[in-house]
Amino acid sequence: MSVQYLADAAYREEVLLFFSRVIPGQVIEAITLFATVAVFFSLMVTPIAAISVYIERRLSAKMQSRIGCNRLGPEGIFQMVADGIKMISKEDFMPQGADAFLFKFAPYLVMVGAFVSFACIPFSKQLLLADINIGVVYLLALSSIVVIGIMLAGWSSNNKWSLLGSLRSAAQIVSYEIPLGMSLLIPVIITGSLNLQEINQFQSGGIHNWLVFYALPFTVPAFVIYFISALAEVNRTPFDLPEAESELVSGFHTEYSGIRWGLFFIGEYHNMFLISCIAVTAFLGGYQKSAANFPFVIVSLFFMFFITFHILTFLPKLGFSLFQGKNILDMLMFHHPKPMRRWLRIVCLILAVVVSILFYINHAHSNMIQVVTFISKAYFLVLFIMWLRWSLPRYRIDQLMDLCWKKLIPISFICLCGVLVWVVLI
Amino acid sequence: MWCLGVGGIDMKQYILDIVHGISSIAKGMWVTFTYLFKPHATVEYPEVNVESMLPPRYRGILQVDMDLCISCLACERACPIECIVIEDVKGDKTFVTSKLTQKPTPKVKYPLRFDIDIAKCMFCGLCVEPCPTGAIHHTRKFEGSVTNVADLTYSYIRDTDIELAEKQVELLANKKEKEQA
Ligand code: SF4
Ligand code: SF4
Repeated sequence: MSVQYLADAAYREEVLLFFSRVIPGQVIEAITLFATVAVFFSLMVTPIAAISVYIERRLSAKMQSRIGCNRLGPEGIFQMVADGIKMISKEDFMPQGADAFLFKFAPYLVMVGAFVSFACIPFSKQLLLADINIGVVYLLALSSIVVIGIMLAGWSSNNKWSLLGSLRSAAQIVSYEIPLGMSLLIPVIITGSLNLQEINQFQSGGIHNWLVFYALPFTVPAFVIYFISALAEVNRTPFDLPEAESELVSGFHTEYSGIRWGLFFIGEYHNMFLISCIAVTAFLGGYQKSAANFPFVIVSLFFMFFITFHILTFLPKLGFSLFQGKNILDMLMFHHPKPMRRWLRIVCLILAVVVSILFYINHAHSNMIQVVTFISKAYFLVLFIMWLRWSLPRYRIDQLMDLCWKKLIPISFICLCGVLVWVVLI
Repeated sequence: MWCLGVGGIDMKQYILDIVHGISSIAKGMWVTFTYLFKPHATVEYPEVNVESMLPPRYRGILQVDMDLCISCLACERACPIECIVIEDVKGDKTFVTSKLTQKPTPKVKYPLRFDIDIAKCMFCGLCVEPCPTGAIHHTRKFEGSVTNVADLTYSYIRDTDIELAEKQVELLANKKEKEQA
């Protein structure tokens, strides 16, 4: 009954009117916005780091002929909880001679810079926290805040490795911002808007409208250049010079431990997801309906169903054995027998295909479907970044600069001019 | 093209560099991609019995077959880090069948103490080689962790060995008495 009331617009008006007599309207608006942001971050953005860490661990294990974490919970899915608890419960250590305030402040800068950027990413038609007109500029500006965080971390640690790492990071990020900005200008030129939502809307209608295929000889290299320089921006391998383990212990976060180190870690994984989100929004059609989304949606739905089934079949067993008073750690070490796993895989694949077809049909009506489409595409790029990390060795600093100044910048400039001509002529 | 050549950049080399870079990255990534579909090389250790997967000449924790040991001290002398300690007494002569040659080997000394400090042992196998009866040998066991390092000093003497030693010492003494008489 109450649901009916809430769905009734007149009733909702009445409730709002009642509240607005007590509380001013701006406060209600602020509270609603705050609640949206809180729900959004806690449900969508925060788990990304944990899930990415888990996926990266399993993926890297597979690529190195290992098994990876599969002990805690079905297929090791609770490993991320254990990692989190470990990180929080470790000692928070500060070196002697460190600049206390900056040392404590730096991780927040890095993390907040990564978090706040998500505000203008259009996850779906309505799920967009801030529909700002200068979305692209906003993203580029915020990516520089992360650099400040890294610089402060390196400088305040009172450690030469940290300082070297942070200086490298500064040099790297400042150089790579140029090709990054130039390649992000290309979607802006084509759509004539800095608003990410409008850039997204421009690509509706299918794969041929995706900006990466708009002016084939120029936009494809531009996309590649965007991806490479974004990788360098977030210090991911093969551009992880600021934290090169073999040379600088671990670069700018050498002196960090416990949850402060964890904040850097979370920031790194969020940045990874962020650059994938921007790539999807600006080049790969965003959340728009397209038959080309099928493989991404099917794969991500498959893994979602697979993990859900595992947890669902695992929980009764866990509850039962807790009831019997057995050791919880023994119980968490749970493996499905092999034939059951194969059987589950087939069921999940069929379910994923069916559900993705349903998604395709109902795409326009549901925000949730659009979000799933968007995230599965973005996650595909995240997987690609991980794949790169476990395949390629690290660049040397001169090679890094050579790549940026002699290759990426001229080529992105040529692409930019080419797209300008293309837009004018065609 | 000539204007780009001014900066000392060889255009042909430039393009070749890019092509080579992209193709080598693609090659590397293909290699890691194929690994996604290969079975893993590691095993889940405590559940899987790895002892059967060890190589045939695996040198695990030492074991001494006290029924065969003739207390010749060859192993104690061979050990480069002196982690074998043997104390023995002289007794009446008996024969044991060597595991290596299947021939009876005379035994005149009887060990009362046979300790090997596994914590020090480096599993070099030098003690196994001189043993005339094959009493001391490597097992395939490798799980030796204990909470107290003193527990790693393995003692191979059983109660029956001490009984035997006492019996043989008595026999020898009786023999000597008879001879003197
Ligand atoms: S294996 Fe080597 S170190 Fe160990 S007891 Fe024998 S001789 Fe000594
Ligand atoms: S070498 Fe063999 S027979 Fe001789 S004391 Fe050692 S274990 Fe016994």
